Amino acid sequence: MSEATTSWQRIKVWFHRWGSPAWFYAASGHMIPWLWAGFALLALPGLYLGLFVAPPDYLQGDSYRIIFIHVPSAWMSMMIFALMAIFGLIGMVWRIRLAETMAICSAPIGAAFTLITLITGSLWGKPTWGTYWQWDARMTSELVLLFLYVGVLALYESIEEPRKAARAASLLALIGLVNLPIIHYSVQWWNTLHQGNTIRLNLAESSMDTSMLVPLLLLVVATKFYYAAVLLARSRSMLLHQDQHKNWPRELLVAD
Amino acid sequence: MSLFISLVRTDLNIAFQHRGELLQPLWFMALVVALFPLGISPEAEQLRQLAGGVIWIAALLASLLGLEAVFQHDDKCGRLEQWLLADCGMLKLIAARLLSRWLVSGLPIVLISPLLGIWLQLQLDALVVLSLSLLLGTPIMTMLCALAAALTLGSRQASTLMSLLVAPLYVPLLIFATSAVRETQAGTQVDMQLLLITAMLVLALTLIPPAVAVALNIHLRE
Amino acid sequence: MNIEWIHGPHSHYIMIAYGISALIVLYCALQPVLRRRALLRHIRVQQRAEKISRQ
Repeated sequence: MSEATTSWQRIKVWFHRWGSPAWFYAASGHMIPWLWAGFALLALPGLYLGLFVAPPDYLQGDSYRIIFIHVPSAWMSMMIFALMAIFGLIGMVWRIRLAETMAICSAPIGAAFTLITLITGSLWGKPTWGTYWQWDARMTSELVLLFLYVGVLALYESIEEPRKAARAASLLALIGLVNLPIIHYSVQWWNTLHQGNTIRLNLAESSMDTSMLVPLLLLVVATKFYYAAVLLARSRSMLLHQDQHKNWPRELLVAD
Repeated sequence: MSLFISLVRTDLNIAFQHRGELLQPLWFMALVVALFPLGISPEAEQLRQLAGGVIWIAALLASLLGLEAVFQHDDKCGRLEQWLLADCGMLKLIAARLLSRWLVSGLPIVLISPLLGIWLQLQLDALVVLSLSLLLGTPIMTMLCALAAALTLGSRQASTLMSLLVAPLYVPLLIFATSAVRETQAGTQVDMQLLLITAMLVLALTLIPPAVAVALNIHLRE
Repeated sequence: MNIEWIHGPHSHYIMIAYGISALIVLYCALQPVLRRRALLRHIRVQQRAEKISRQ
């Protein structure tokens, strides 16, 4: 019993440490290089296998190679939005500053992935569909997602007081998360109404060859490492920026 | 309850004192609709095709006008702080404000929509569906606008920002409503679309007022 | 190694897609690092100025 309580205490102490920006700054500084190493170890072989080893697709020729970045970034764009809203909820409910910071720092990364998804999607669409932009369900909901990200960022930028701004933007992210499934299904429904014959990227049905699946999976995992690394880096610089007149950054410099 | 009614009555009184401002969104909406025949074609068949979408988009744009006024004045004169401390809870006052706001800015849109539909050559059955979809949809629009207004209370350049926040959230509403109008013209049943909009209205009624309360709290408590 | 696609008809789409993605990813990763460096430099300068003014 007592052992259980002490380990519980230890967990609580560990948890509360995250509340200290100085501790977070130091801890994340140790973690970031490892995350980058993980990203490089996964992404470089993934890109190599995807670009130089995988054979051309018998239907689409070589343009399918774009999906090695398109699909992972599409997944990330949605996952990051969900994480942003969850961080925001944690920040709002328990008033944890780090969670608020992480919610806001997720937004530009998610927006970047959404932008990559849209750009690579239209570059893939040109040789495949014969047009850069097709109002198909996935592209359209990805576009709405970009607008939602831009809204969160714009709201954060427009409020002077950083913690208030973070909280308002978190609430907007949460509202967006509730709306996303509705938007997604309405767009899908709208799409079936207007176009019976969209060309689909039938990944699931046309059982992918392992030579294509392996690089895709490698890049899917690599983007998660990338997100973690950049999220920590962004949070560090944001905390440092907000606290530049406080004591801990000075102590940090003395310690160097 | 009396506080609820008196707040609605005060809001309506103030709104009617500024009758000119009240009509501005309606003029704007009529203007936007009138520009479409000029910009595309006065041909009846083509206009009928576009009518649902055009009127709905004009309504969405009109709802964005003057939207920062929802809470701004009360915020400036400190009345929102009193809301926070009110005995009956903030939610009731927010509900009153949403109701008066809808009566002032949403209902006129519903009432003017048949007229605009006639401009765009809609038949009677499509006109009924259009007005019905707006009747169900404008409360959602009012609530989303109020939410954006509450979120942007502490911000600079609030009005541009608000349209940026609200517009993506309008997407499902626009899709189902315009499809209802179009399907009526094609002669198919549109119960599903109208029921879906009703479902969204119920969802909005349960979720948005508390979200507005949270947003106002964020603004006031810092 | 299979690099014939580089001479294929769609190779420029692939290259542009990878190039733009790489630029966005790099920008997104470098921006916080550069910002933090600049901030640290700024804080260090301030610290030095305070020390001098104290002397």
